[in-house]
Amino acid sequence: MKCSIIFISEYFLTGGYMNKKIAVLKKGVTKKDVLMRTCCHTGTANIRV
Amino acid sequence: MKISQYCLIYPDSNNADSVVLFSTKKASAILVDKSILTDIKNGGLGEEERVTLADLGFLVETDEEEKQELLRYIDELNEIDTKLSVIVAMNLDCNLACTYRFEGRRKGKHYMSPETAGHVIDFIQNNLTKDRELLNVTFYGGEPLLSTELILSMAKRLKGIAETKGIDFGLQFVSNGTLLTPSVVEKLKLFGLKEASITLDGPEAVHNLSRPYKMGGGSFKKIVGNIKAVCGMIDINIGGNFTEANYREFPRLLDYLLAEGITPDRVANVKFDPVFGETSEYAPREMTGACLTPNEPWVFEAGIMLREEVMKRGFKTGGIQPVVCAIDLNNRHIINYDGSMYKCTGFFDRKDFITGNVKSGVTNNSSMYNLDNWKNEECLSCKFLPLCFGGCRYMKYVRDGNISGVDCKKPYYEACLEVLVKQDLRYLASNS
Repeated sequence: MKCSIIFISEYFLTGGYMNKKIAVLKKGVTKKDVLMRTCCHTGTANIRV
Repeated sequence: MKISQYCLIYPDSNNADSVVLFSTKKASAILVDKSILTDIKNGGLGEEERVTLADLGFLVETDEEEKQELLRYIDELNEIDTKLSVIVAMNLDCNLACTYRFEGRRKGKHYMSPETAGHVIDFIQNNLTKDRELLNVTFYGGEPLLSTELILSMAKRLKGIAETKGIDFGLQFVSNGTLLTPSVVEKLKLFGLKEASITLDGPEAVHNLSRPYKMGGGSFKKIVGNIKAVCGMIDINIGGNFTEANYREFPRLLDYLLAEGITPDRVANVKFDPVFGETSEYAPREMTGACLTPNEPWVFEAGIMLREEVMKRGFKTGGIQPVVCAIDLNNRHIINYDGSMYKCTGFFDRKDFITGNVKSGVTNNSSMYNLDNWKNEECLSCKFLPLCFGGCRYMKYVRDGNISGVDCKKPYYEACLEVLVKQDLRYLASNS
Protein backbone atom coordinates (compact mmCIF):
# COMPACT_ATOMS: atom_id res chain seq x y z
CA MET A 1 0.00 0.00 0.00
CA LYS A 2 1.65 3.21 -1.15
CA CYS A 3 -0.11 5.65 1.14
CA SER A 4 -1.91 4.18 4.11
CA ILE A 5 -2.66 7.34 6.03
CA ILE A 6 -5.52 9.76 5.62
CA PHE A 7 -6.53 12.73 7.68
CA ILE A 8 -9.81 13.49 9.31
CA SER A 9 -11.27 15.76 6.62
CA GLU A 10 -10.61 13.16 3.94
CA TYR A 11 -12.00 10.47 6.22
CA PHE A 12 -15.29 12.28 6.61
CA LEU A 13 -15.46 13.32 2.96
CA THR A 14 -14.97 9.80 1.70
CA GLY A 15 -17.06 8.26 4.44
CA GLY A 16 -14.37 5.92 5.68
CA TYR A 17 -11.05 4.30 5.07
CA MET A 18 -11.25 3.66 1.35
CA ASN A 19 -8.09 1.57 1.04
CA LYS A 20 -6.22 3.21 3.92
CA LYS A 21 -5.18 1.57 7.17
CA ILE A 22 -4.81 4.61 9.40
CA ALA A 23 -7.15 7.56 9.73
CA VAL A 24 -5.79 10.42 11.83
CA LEU A 25 -8.74 11.74 13.80
CA LYS A 26 -6.90 14.19 16.06
CA LYS A 27 -3.34 15.33 15.60
CA GLY A 28 -2.98 16.06 19.31
CA VAL A 29 -1.49 18.94 21.26
CA THR A 30 1.94 20.45 21.81
CA LYS A 31 3.49 21.37 25.15
CA LYS A 32 2.67 25.02 24.34
CA ASP A 33 -0.99 24.01 24.08
CA VAL A 34 -0.74 22.29 27.45
CA LEU A 35 0.61 25.50 28.99
CA MET A 36 -2.42 27.39 27.68
CA ARG A 37 -4.78 25.07 29.54
CA THR A 38 -3.04 24.92 32.92
CA CYS A 39 -5.63 24.20 35.57
CA CYS A 40 -6.17 26.20 38.68
CA HIS A 41 -8.75 25.25 41.21
CA THR A 42 -11.05 28.16 41.93
CA GLY A 43 -13.30 26.65 44.50
CA THR A 44 -15.75 24.62 42.57
CA ALA A 45 -14.36 24.71 39.09
CA ASN A 46 -11.13 25.05 37.21
CA ILE A 47 -9.97 27.96 35.14
CA ARG A 48 -7.17 28.34 32.65
CA VAL A 49 -4.26 30.42 33.91
CA MET B 1 9.67 0.38 18.03
CA LYS B 2 6.82 -0.56 20.36
CA ILE B 3 3.45 0.78 21.32
CA SER B 4 3.39 3.60 23.89
CA GLN B 5 2.46 2.81 27.50
CA TYR B 6 0.13 5.80 27.33
CA CYS B 7 -1.89 4.49 24.40
CA LEU B 8 -5.45 3.32 24.97
CA ILE B 9 -7.21 1.04 22.52
CA TYR B 10 -10.97 1.35 22.21
CA PRO B 11 -13.39 -0.50 19.94
CA ASP B 12 -14.74 1.33 16.88
CA SER B 13 -18.47 1.13 17.28
CA ASN B 14 -18.95 1.45 13.50
CA ASN B 15 -16.57 -1.25 12.37
CA ALA B 16 -15.50 -4.50 14.06
CA ASP B 17 -12.30 -4.60 11.98
CA SER B 18 -10.93 -1.33 13.34
CA VAL B 19 -10.05 0.25 16.66
CA VAL B 20 -9.57 3.77 17.99
CA LEU B 21 -6.17 4.54 19.50
CA PHE B 22 -5.91 7.50 21.89
CA SER B 23 -2.66 8.82 23.30
CA THR B 24 -3.05 10.38 26.75
CA LYS B 25 0.43 11.85 26.28
CA LYS B 26 -0.42 13.84 23.15
CA ALA B 27 -4.22 13.77 23.03
CA SER B 28 -3.93 12.40 19.51
CA ALA B 29 -6.43 9.89 18.17
CA ILE B 30 -6.42 7.59 15.19
CA LEU B 31 -8.68 4.99 13.72
CA VAL B 32 -6.74 1.97 12.51
CA ASP B 33 -7.33 -1.32 10.89
CA LYS B 34 -6.70 -3.99 13.54
CA SER B 35 -3.94 -5.44 11.38
CA ILE B 36 -1.85 -2.38 12.26
CA LEU B 37 -1.55 -3.67 15.84
CA THR B 38 -0.06 -6.90 14.51
CA ASP B 39 2.22 -4.95 12.18
CA ILE B 40 3.52 -2.94 15.16
CA LYS B 41 4.23 -6.13 17.12
CA ASN B 42 5.94 -7.85 14.19
CA GLY B 43 7.86 -4.84 12.91
CA GLY B 44 5.79 -4.90 9.74
CA LEU B 45 4.93 -1.21 9.48
CA GLY B 46 5.77 0.81 6.40
CA GLU B 47 8.05 3.83 6.85
CA GLU B 48 5.25 6.36 6.48
CA GLU B 49 3.08 4.54 8.99
CA ARG B 50 5.95 4.23 11.45
CA VAL B 51 6.85 7.92 11.27
CA THR B 52 3.22 9.03 11.59
CA LEU B 53 2.50 6.78 14.56
CA ALA B 54 5.70 7.93 16.30
CA ASP B 55 4.92 11.61 15.66
CA LEU B 56 1.48 11.17 17.14
CA GLY B 57 2.90 9.54 20.24
CA PHE B 58 1.73 5.98 19.63
CA LEU B 59 5.16 4.43 19.07
CA VAL B 60 8.26 4.68 21.26
CA GLU B 61 11.71 3.15 21.16
CA THR B 62 11.57 1.62 24.66
CA ASP B 63 9.43 1.83 27.81
CA GLU B 64 12.38 3.21 29.73
CA GLU B 65 12.90 6.03 27.23
CA GLU B 66 9.23 6.94 27.46
CA LYS B 67 9.34 6.84 31.25
CA GLN B 68 12.23 9.32 31.20
CA GLU B 69 10.24 11.50 28.79
CA LEU B 70 7.37 11.65 31.30
CA LEU B 71 9.69 12.30 34.22
CA ARG B 72 11.03 15.36 32.35
CA TYR B 73 7.59 16.54 31.19
CA ILE B 74 6.88 19.27 33.76
CA ASP B 75 10.50 20.48 33.83
CA GLU B 76 10.26 20.94 30.08
CA LEU B 77 7.01 22.85 30.41
CA ASN B 78 8.72 25.20 32.85
CA GLU B 79 11.64 25.61 30.44
CA ILE B 80 9.47 26.67 27.50
CA ASP B 81 6.93 28.66 29.51
CA THR B 82 7.12 32.35 28.62
CA LYS B 83 4.04 33.46 30.54
CA LEU B 84 3.77 35.10 33.94
CA SER B 85 0.32 34.34 35.32
CA VAL B 86 -0.99 35.83 38.54
CA ILE B 87 -4.35 35.35 40.23
CA VAL B 88 -5.22 38.19 42.60
CA ALA B 89 -8.01 37.80 45.16
CA MET B 90 -9.23 41.39 45.54
CA ASN B 91 -11.45 40.60 48.49
CA LEU B 92 -13.20 37.72 50.21
CA ASP B 93 -16.55 39.50 50.24
CA CYS B 94 -19.55 38.78 48.05
CA ASN B 95 -22.96 40.21 47.23
CA LEU B 96 -24.34 36.68 46.90
CA ALA B 97 -24.96 34.17 49.67
CA CYS B 98 -24.06 30.95 47.88
CA THR B 99 -24.80 27.76 49.73
CA TYR B 100 -21.53 26.08 48.88
CA ARG B 101 -18.68 28.51 48.05
CA PHE B 102 -15.42 26.95 49.10
CA GLU B 103 -14.18 30.09 50.83
CA GLY B 104 -16.99 29.26 53.25
CA ARG B 105 -16.27 30.67 56.66
CA ARG B 106 -13.18 32.49 55.37
CA LYS B 107 -15.49 34.96 53.65
CA GLY B 108 -16.07 38.39 55.15
CA LYS B 109 -15.40 42.08 54.67
CA HIS B 110 -11.77 41.47 53.81
CA TYR B 111 -10.52 43.79 51.04
CA MET B 112 -7.17 44.42 49.45
CA SER B 113 -5.82 47.83 50.46
CA PRO B 114 -4.36 50.29 47.91
CA GLU B 115 -0.99 49.80 49.63
CA THR B 116 -1.09 46.02 49.12
CA ALA B 117 -2.25 46.57 45.53
CA GLY B 118 0.89 48.66 45.00
CA HIS B 119 3.02 45.81 46.31
CA VAL B 120 1.19 43.39 43.98
CA ILE B 121 2.16 45.57 41.02
CA ASP B 122 5.76 45.81 42.22
CA PHE B 123 5.88 42.03 42.62
CA ILE B 124 4.58 41.50 39.09
CA GLN B 125 6.97 44.08 37.65
CA ASN B 126 9.93 42.46 39.40
CA ASN B 127 8.96 39.05 38.06
CA LEU B 128 8.57 40.17 34.45
CA THR B 129 12.01 38.97 33.54
CA LYS B 130 13.41 39.36 30.03
CA ASP B 131 12.23 35.93 28.94
CA ARG B 132 8.53 36.69 29.66
CA GLU B 133 6.40 37.24 26.57
CA LEU B 134 2.94 37.35 28.14
CA LEU B 135 1.50 38.69 31.38
CA ASN B 136 -1.87 37.30 32.39
CA VAL B 137 -3.64 38.64 35.47
CA THR B 138 -6.86 37.09 36.79
CA PHE B 139 -8.93 39.05 39.29
CA TYR B 140 -10.63 36.79 41.73
CA GLY B 141 -12.52 36.94 45.05
CA GLY B 142 -15.00 36.80 46.82
CA GLU B 143 -16.49 38.88 44.07
CA PRO B 144 -13.67 40.87 42.46
CA LEU B 145 -16.00 43.48 40.97
CA LEU B 146 -16.81 44.72 44.49
CA SER B 147 -13.32 46.21 44.13
CA THR B 148 -13.81 47.72 40.68
CA GLU B 149 -12.14 51.06 41.39
CA LEU B 150 -8.97 49.46 42.71
CA ILE B 151 -8.96 46.98 39.83
CA LEU B 152 -9.19 49.84 37.32
CA SER B 153 -6.19 51.61 38.80
CA MET B 154 -4.18 48.36 38.97
CA ALA B 155 -5.12 47.37 35.43
CA LYS B 156 -4.05 50.75 34.08
CA ARG B 157 -0.62 50.46 35.72
CA LEU B 158 -0.16 46.82 34.69
CA LYS B 159 -1.00 47.57 31.09
CA GLY B 160 1.53 50.40 31.12
CA ILE B 161 4.21 48.10 32.53
CA ALA B 162 3.50 45.44 29.90
CA GLU B 163 3.64 48.02 27.11
CA THR B 164 6.93 49.43 28.38
CA LYS B 165 8.41 45.96 28.41
CA GLY B 166 6.90 45.14 25.02
CA ILE B 167 5.00 42.06 26.13
CA ASP B 168 1.43 40.88 25.57
CA PHE B 169 -1.01 41.54 28.36
CA GLY B 170 -4.38 40.04 29.23
CA LEU B 171 -6.83 40.49 32.09
CA GLN B 172 -9.53 38.08 33.11
CA PHE B 173 -12.11 37.73 35.84
CA VAL B 174 -13.67 34.96 37.82
CA SER B 175 -16.93 36.67 38.70
CA ASN B 176 -20.46 35.84 39.73
CA GLY B 177 -21.53 38.08 36.83
CA THR B 178 -23.98 40.28 38.71
CA LEU B 179 -21.76 43.36 38.38
CA LEU B 180 -20.24 42.64 34.97
CA THR B 181 -22.17 45.32 33.12
CA PRO B 182 -21.32 46.72 29.67
CA SER B 183 -20.03 49.97 31.21
CA VAL B 184 -17.63 48.09 33.52
CA VAL B 185 -16.45 45.91 30.64
CA GLU B 186 -15.99 48.92 28.39
CA LYS B 187 -13.75 50.62 30.97
CA LEU B 188 -11.73 47.47 31.67
CA LYS B 189 -11.31 46.62 28.00
CA LEU B 190 -9.24 49.77 27.66
CA PHE B 191 -6.80 48.16 30.08
CA GLY B 192 -6.66 44.69 28.56
CA LEU B 193 -9.75 42.81 29.72
CA LYS B 194 -10.02 39.73 27.51
CA GLU B 195 -12.33 37.26 29.23
CA ALA B 196 -14.53 36.50 32.21
CA SER B 197 -15.60 33.22 33.78
CA ILE B 198 -19.14 33.41 35.12
CA THR B 199 -21.12 30.88 37.11
CA LEU B 200 -24.66 29.76 36.34
CA ASP B 201 -25.77 26.88 38.52
CA GLY B 202 -28.54 25.51 36.36
CA PRO B 203 -31.85 26.93 35.18
CA GLU B 204 -33.38 29.87 37.02
CA ALA B 205 -35.05 28.12 39.95
CA VAL B 206 -32.06 25.83 40.61
CA HIS B 207 -29.51 28.64 40.29
CA ASN B 208 -31.46 30.98 42.53
CA LEU B 209 -31.60 28.37 45.26
CA SER B 210 -27.83 28.05 45.44
CA ARG B 211 -26.86 31.64 44.48
CA PRO B 212 -29.32 34.11 46.00
CA TYR B 213 -28.44 37.72 46.75
CA LYS B 214 -27.43 38.38 50.36
CA MET B 215 -30.35 40.75 50.57
CA GLY B 216 -32.64 38.03 49.25
CA GLY B 217 -33.94 37.34 45.76
CA GLY B 218 -32.52 35.39 42.85
CA SER B 219 -29.48 36.50 40.85
CA PHE B 220 -30.17 34.48 37.68
CA LYS B 221 -31.94 37.08 35.54
CA LYS B 222 -29.36 39.78 36.29
CA ILE B 223 -26.45 37.48 35.40
CA VAL B 224 -28.01 36.23 32.17
CA GLY B 225 -28.82 39.83 31.23
CA ASN B 226 -25.20 40.83 31.77
CA ILE B 227 -23.86 37.84 29.81
CA LYS B 228 -26.16 38.74 26.95
CA ALA B 229 -24.97 42.35 27.01
CA VAL B 230 -21.22 41.70 27.20
CA CYS B 231 -20.68 38.43 25.32
CA GLY B 232 -19.95 40.34 22.13
CA MET B 233 -17.36 42.47 23.90
CA ILE B 234 -15.12 39.88 25.58
CA ASP B 235 -14.79 36.10 25.75
CA ILE B 236 -17.27 34.67 28.22
CA ASN B 237 -16.75 31.27 29.83
CA ILE B 238 -19.83 29.87 31.49
CA GLY B 239 -19.26 27.45 34.34
CA GLY B 240 -21.74 25.81 36.63
CA ASN B 241 -21.59 23.67 39.72
CA PHE B 242 -23.92 20.74 40.06
CA THR B 243 -24.83 18.37 42.84
CA GLU B 244 -26.13 14.84 42.73
CA ALA B 245 -29.60 16.21 43.36
CA ASN B 246 -29.74 18.84 40.60
CA TYR B 247 -27.47 17.91 37.67
CA ARG B 248 -30.32 16.56 35.57
CA GLU B 249 -31.80 20.07 35.48
CA PHE B 250 -28.79 21.65 33.79
CA PRO B 251 -29.73 20.91 30.13
CA ARG B 252 -32.68 23.27 30.61
CA LEU B 253 -30.17 26.04 31.30
CA LEU B 254 -28.50 25.39 27.93
CA ASP B 255 -31.85 25.60 26.13
CA TYR B 256 -32.63 28.82 27.96
CA LEU B 257 -29.31 30.35 26.90
CA LEU B 258 -29.99 29.45 23.26
CA ALA B 259 -33.48 30.93 23.45
CA GLU B 260 -32.01 34.12 24.89
CA GLY B 261 -29.59 34.43 21.98
CA ILE B 262 -26.55 33.36 24.00
CA THR B 263 -25.52 31.03 21.23
CA PRO B 264 -22.35 28.94 20.80
CA ASP B 265 -20.76 31.55 18.53
CA ARG B 266 -21.07 34.15 21.32
CA VAL B 267 -19.65 32.06 24.20
CA ALA B 268 -16.03 30.93 24.46
CA ASN B 269 -16.55 27.88 26.64
CA VAL B 270 -19.19 26.05 28.68
CA LYS B 271 -18.22 23.57 31.38
CA PHE B 272 -20.04 22.16 34.38
CA ASP B 273 -18.27 20.68 37.39
CA PRO B 274 -19.46 18.96 40.54
CA VAL B 275 -19.52 20.95 43.76
CA PHE B 276 -16.47 19.87 45.74
CA GLY B 277 -16.46 19.66 49.49
CA GLU B 278 -14.44 21.52 52.11
CA THR B 279 -13.04 20.58 55.48
CA SER B 280 -15.35 21.15 58.43
CA GLU B 281 -13.13 24.06 59.49
CA TYR B 282 -14.15 26.18 56.50
CA ALA B 283 -17.18 24.55 54.89
CA PRO B 284 -20.34 26.60 54.69
CA ARG B 285 -22.86 25.18 57.15
CA GLU B 286 -25.51 24.84 54.45
CA MET B 287 -23.34 22.81 52.07
CA THR B 288 -24.82 19.47 51.04
CA GLY B 289 -24.46 17.17 48.04
CA ALA B 290 -20.79 17.94 47.41
CA CYS B 291 -18.35 15.30 46.27
CA LEU B 292 -14.88 14.64 47.65
CA THR B 293 -13.48 12.85 44.62
CA PRO B 294 -14.35 12.56 40.92
CA ASN B 295 -14.34 8.80 41.46
CA GLU B 296 -17.93 8.75 42.74
CA PRO B 297 -20.23 6.90 40.29
CA TRP B 298 -22.81 9.70 40.16
CA VAL B 299 -20.04 12.09 39.05
CA PHE B 300 -19.20 9.74 36.14
CA GLU B 301 -22.80 9.75 35.00
CA ALA B 302 -23.38 13.45 35.54
CA GLY B 303 -20.13 14.57 33.93
CA ILE B 304 -20.60 12.52 30.77
CA MET B 305 -24.26 13.42 30.41
CA LEU B 306 -23.73 17.16 30.83
CA ARG B 307 -20.72 17.25 28.51
CA GLU B 308 -22.81 15.55 25.84
CA GLU B 309 -25.63 18.07 26.33
CA VAL B 310 -23.16 20.96 26.02
CA MET B 311 -21.46 19.57 22.92
CA LYS B 312 -24.54 18.46 21.04
CA ARG B 313 -25.92 22.01 21.24
CA GLY B 314 -22.70 23.22 19.62
CA PHE B 315 -21.17 24.97 22.67
CA LYS B 316 -17.40 24.73 22.94
CA THR B 317 -15.89 22.85 25.85
CA GLY B 318 -12.36 21.73 26.55
CA GLY B 319 -11.11 18.63 24.78
CA ILE B 320 -9.44 15.78 26.65
CA GLN B 321 -5.71 16.51 26.80
CA PRO B 322 -2.75 16.47 29.20
CA VAL B 323 -3.36 18.79 32.14
CA VAL B 324 -0.91 20.10 34.69
CA CYS B 325 -1.72 21.94 37.87
CA ALA B 326 -0.63 25.55 38.30
CA ILE B 327 1.19 24.43 41.46
CA ASP B 328 3.75 22.68 39.27
CA LEU B 329 4.57 25.75 37.20
CA ASN B 330 7.18 28.19 38.46
CA ASN B 331 5.58 31.27 36.91
CA ARG B 332 2.06 30.91 38.31
CA HIS B 333 1.33 32.82 41.52
CA ILE B 334 -1.80 33.23 43.63
CA ILE B 335 -2.11 36.32 45.81
CA ASN B 336 -4.66 36.74 48.59
CA TYR B 337 -6.23 40.09 49.50
CA ASP B 338 -3.67 40.62 52.31
CA GLY B 339 -0.67 40.06 50.01
CA SER B 340 0.13 36.55 51.19
CA MET B 341 1.04 34.22 48.36
CA TYR B 342 0.06 30.63 47.62
CA LYS B 343 0.19 28.19 44.72
CA CYS B 344 -3.54 27.37 44.86
CA THR B 345 -6.57 29.38 45.96
CA GLY B 346 -7.87 26.37 47.86
CA PHE B 347 -5.12 26.87 50.43
CA PHE B 348 -5.97 30.48 51.33
CA ASP B 349 -5.54 31.07 55.07
CA ARG B 350 -3.74 27.74 55.54
CA LYS B 351 -0.50 29.19 56.86
CA ASP B 352 1.61 26.12 56.11
CA PHE B 353 1.02 26.66 52.40
CA ILE B 354 2.14 30.29 52.12
CA THR B 355 4.96 30.64 49.61
CA GLY B 356 5.73 34.28 50.36
CA ASN B 357 4.34 37.78 50.40
CA VAL B 358 4.09 40.44 47.73
CA LYS B 359 6.37 42.70 49.78
CA SER B 360 9.16 40.19 50.28
CA GLY B 361 8.52 38.02 47.22
CA VAL B 362 8.60 34.23 47.08
CA THR B 363 10.48 33.15 50.19
CA ASN B 364 9.48 29.49 50.44
CA ASN B 365 9.86 27.04 47.64
CA SER B 366 6.72 25.05 46.84
CA SER B 367 7.85 21.80 48.43
CA MET B 368 4.99 21.95 50.96
CA TYR B 369 2.66 21.26 48.03
CA ASN B 370 4.25 17.85 47.59
CA LEU B 371 5.67 18.45 44.11
CA ASP B 372 6.58 15.35 42.09
CA ASN B 373 4.08 13.24 44.07
CA TRP B 374 3.40 11.29 40.87
CA LYS B 375 7.03 10.30 40.29
CA ASN B 376 6.61 6.72 41.45
CA GLU B 377 6.34 3.40 39.65
CA GLU B 378 2.60 3.05 40.13
CA CYS B 379 1.81 6.43 38.56
CA LEU B 380 4.44 6.09 35.82
CA SER B 381 2.94 2.81 34.71
CA CYS B 382 -0.60 4.25 34.71
CA LYS B 383 -1.94 4.96 31.21
CA PHE B 384 -3.80 8.00 32.52
CA LEU B 385 -0.79 9.75 34.09
CA PRO B 386 -0.54 12.57 31.48
CA LEU B 387 -4.18 13.51 32.10
CA CYS B 388 -3.65 13.75 35.83
CA PHE B 389 -0.04 14.18 37.03
CA GLY B 390 -1.05 13.34 40.58
CA GLY B 391 -4.48 14.98 40.52
CA CYS B 392 -5.72 17.86 42.63
CA ARG B 393 -3.81 18.51 45.84
CA TYR B 394 -6.64 20.64 47.20
CA MET B 395 -9.15 17.79 46.87
CA LYS B 396 -6.65 15.43 48.48
CA TYR B 397 -6.20 17.84 51.38
CA VAL B 398 -9.92 18.33 51.90
CA ARG B 399 -10.56 14.60 51.76
CA ASP B 400 -7.64 13.30 53.79
CA GLY B 401 -6.34 16.25 55.78
CA ASN B 402 -2.93 16.04 54.08
CA ILE B 403 -1.38 16.10 50.63
CA SER B 404 1.03 13.22 50.95
CA GLY B 405 0.42 10.77 48.13
CA VAL B 406 -1.73 11.51 45.09
CA ASP B 407 -5.33 12.30 44.27
CA CYS B 408 -5.71 9.25 42.03
CA LYS B 409 -8.28 9.59 39.26
CA LYS B 410 -7.79 6.15 37.75
CA PRO B 411 -11.32 4.91 38.58
CA TYR B 412 -12.78 8.03 36.95
CA TYR B 413 -10.76 7.62 33.76
CA GLU B 414 -11.37 3.89 33.59
CA ALA B 415 -15.09 4.54 33.76
CA CYS B 416 -15.30 7.66 31.57
CA LEU B 417 -12.36 8.21 29.24
CA GLU B 418 -13.57 6.10 26.32
CA VAL B 419 -16.85 8.00 26.22
CA LEU B 420 -15.12 11.38 26.63
CA VAL B 421 -12.65 10.65 23.83
CA LYS B 422 -15.44 9.54 21.53
CA GLN B 423 -17.39 12.71 22.37
CA ASP B 424 -14.33 14.71 21.28
CA LEU B 425 -14.10 12.76 18.05
CA ARG B 426 -17.76 13.24 17.28
CA TYR B 427 -18.02 16.92 18.11
CA LEU B 428 -14.56 18.51 18.15
CA ALA B 429 -12.67 16.69 15.41
CA SER B 430 -15.53 16.87 12.93
CA ASN B 431 -15.67 20.65 13.43
CA SER B 432 -11.94 21.18 12.95
